[in-house]
Formats: sequence, C-alpha cells, structure tokens
Amino acid sequence: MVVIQLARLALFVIGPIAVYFIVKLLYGFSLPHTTPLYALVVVILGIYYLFIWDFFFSDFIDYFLDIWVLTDQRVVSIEQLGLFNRLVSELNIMNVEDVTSEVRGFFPTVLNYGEVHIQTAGSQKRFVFEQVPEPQKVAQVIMEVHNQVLYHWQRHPAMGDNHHSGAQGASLHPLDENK
Amino acid sequence: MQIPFLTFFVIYLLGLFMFLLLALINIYHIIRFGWFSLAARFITLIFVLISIGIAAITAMFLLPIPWSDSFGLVQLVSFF
Repeated sequence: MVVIQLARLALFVIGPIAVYFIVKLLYGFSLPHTTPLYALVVVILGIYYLFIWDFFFSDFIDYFLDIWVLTDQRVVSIEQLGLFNRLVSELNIMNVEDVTSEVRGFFPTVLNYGEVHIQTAGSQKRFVFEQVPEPQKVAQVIMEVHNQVLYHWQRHPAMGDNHHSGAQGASLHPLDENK
Repeated sequence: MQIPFLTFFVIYLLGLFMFLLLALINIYHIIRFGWFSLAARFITLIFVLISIGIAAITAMFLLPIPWSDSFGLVQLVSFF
C-alpha cells in the first residue's frame, strides 16, 4: 500500500516537470518572468504541488488510522473513512462463524497484503478488514482466539460472556510490530 | 481590458488558504487519533517541512513577477 502510494506520488510530482521539459525540447521556448503566462504557470504549479502533497498525507491518514483490535472478548474495527467519517464497530468473538482471507491482484500477492472477512452468525453483514498485512496469519489468529474462547466457555458455561476478568488484546494495526 | 498581475497572487493566496485548511484538518486527525505512534509524528513532521518547502520554492519563483503591472488578455493568449 505504502509502496504504491509512493509510486503514485512520484508520478504526480515528476509528471508536470517532465511535460515542461518535453514541451521545451519540442518547441524550444523559455518563459520570461515578466509574462502573464509565467505567473499563471507558477501559481498553478504551486497550488498543484501543495494539494498533491496534501492528498498524499490524507491517504496516509486514511490508511494509518484504520485500526483493528482483537481481544479474547471481541473484535473491534476502527476505520477512518475520509476526513470527516470515522466508523467504530464491535463484534463479539463468540459470534464469529468463519474467517476468510483474500489476497487478490499483483501487488497484494507480491507484497502479501489483502482482506480478511469475518462471517458472523445470523444475517449480520461480514466484518471486513481491508489492506491487512499477512491476511492468512490474521485469519488464523482470529480463529485460534475464537476456538480458545469457545473451548473455555464449553468447560465453564456458567461464566457466560464474562469468561475473563481482564481482556488480553492483540492489535492488528498495519504498522504495529506486536500484531 | 487590462488585468493586474495581482489577480494571480490572490488566486495563489486562495489556494494556499484551502491547502492550510485541509492540512490543519489532517493534522488534527493525526493528533487526535494517531499521536501515540512515533511513525505518525515523524510523517507529520515530514509533511509540515515539505509543505513549507513547496511554499518557499513557489515564493522564490513568484518574487521576480512585476506585481504592480497589468496585462491584456491578448498578451496572455498571444504566446500560443
């Protein structure tokens, strides 16, 4: 994800400069500082580069602030959707029915990232973790936690949902080393 | 019809204002929800430094423009 974003940024940064040099080579012109066209080009390029840089930073925030937390009680998904939309969803770990990991496309395969789908009981819609590193491992960890909780609950059914007093959590943050 | 060069400067200032607004919203988000991470702080610092760099380079190119002069529309189009 970060690699693709950097490649896109490089393209957007180099693009206008490349166009300038190609036009200069083909037509051999230079823009004197006193011409209105020079002022227009400088103003447009100045604003263009500021906004390209800002959009890149927005994309980074959108990616960076998507956090998934797995505890022995629930799965919490915190998603930053654009600048003014933040979605926090919780799912009881007992409601997990099956977990699917999906790596689709050239870059996801090479860089080993993809989606993790959590199917819940009933008609609830699937939980989807997008652009997760090592999705197979994440899916495996979720199923392991689910099976452990189920096993524990079957042995001590009286404890119900509060089977643990202290929830032990694992962050699935893309940049977290302890995932 | 004569158009002052300052028109371009006003357009640039409007663009700069919009950029600052978006940048502040972005920085607010990273401080509010992601400040726990060292990577977020580092990238925010890089963002601020490069933004200042872009604005400074643009200012360098804008300086030699004769802002007190005016030009005709024909003058702008005649280059092509």
